[in-house]
Amino acid sequence: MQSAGTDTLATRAAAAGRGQRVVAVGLFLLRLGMAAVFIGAALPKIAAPDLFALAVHNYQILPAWGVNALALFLPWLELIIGLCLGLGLWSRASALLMAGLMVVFMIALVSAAGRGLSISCGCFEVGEHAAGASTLVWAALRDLGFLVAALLLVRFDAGPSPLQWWRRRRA
Amino acid sequence: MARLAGQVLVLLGVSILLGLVTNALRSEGIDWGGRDPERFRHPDVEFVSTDEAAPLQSQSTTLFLDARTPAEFSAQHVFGAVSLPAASLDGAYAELRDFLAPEMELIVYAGDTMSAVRVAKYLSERGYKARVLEGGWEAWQDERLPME
Repeated sequence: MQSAGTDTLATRAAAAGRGQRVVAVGLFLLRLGMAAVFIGAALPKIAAPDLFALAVHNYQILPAWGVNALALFLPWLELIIGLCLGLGLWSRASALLMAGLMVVFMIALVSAAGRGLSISCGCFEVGEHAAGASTLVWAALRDLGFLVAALLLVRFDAGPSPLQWWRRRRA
Repeated sequence: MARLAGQVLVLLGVSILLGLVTNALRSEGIDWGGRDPERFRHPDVEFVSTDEAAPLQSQSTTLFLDARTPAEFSAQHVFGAVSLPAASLDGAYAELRDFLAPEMELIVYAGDTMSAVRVAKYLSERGYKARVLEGGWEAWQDERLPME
């Protein structure tokens, strides 16, 4: 009887261990996925800051003096967030910044859609043709998904950095 | 918590620094404190204000080109304008080419500056004199200038 109880506990513990591993792997892949998204979004904007500045300008939210400054700084922030998430360095701080950016992006997109602006999103490409309100709303919903991912990465440990992983293997 | 806030500030600081340094090193860097972003970012594209463009409307040598979607054009457009959607530029230009002449003054407008700039550049590359209407369709509407 006692043996059967011990077996059940052991089985449950093993199942819980497997579950935790699945969650850990899921978070790790989520972190890498978000890293790829941010790096992919940053590079075209870094390559063409003038076009990205136009995209920012077209939202008609910022005053003229803030448009170019934001267009220069934001893509680099996205790239650094992506690199940090990918490398597992300061992941939580990066995810926190990512969450903040998503909130800002969603406000901008919904505001543009609400004002009936026919503008390009400027999210992953610069210089693409103008989109209608429905496309902007879809982009906002996508960003909502990214916000949830960011909050998960802030709340939970999303796996080791390559350096930590290498040290663990050597230990 | 303080450590996390510190890391966030460092990441923000590094991003600002990289943005400024790479822009300074770039041969065609942009004016990060610029107050007139549209003109500065497109030194190769000429802009025209609504005040300047309105009197040109009655001249036979001037043609307004609407770079918005055909549906937006159908709903309302600048009086006498012709549709040249930025989203299907090659096809639309092929249809319009025979009606354009290099001596004509073309004024391009759209809902967003980017589309109008793209169309104006496209036309300039083909030998036309194309300028972009500052403020685009919205500015024209705000000024209550002739529409149809």
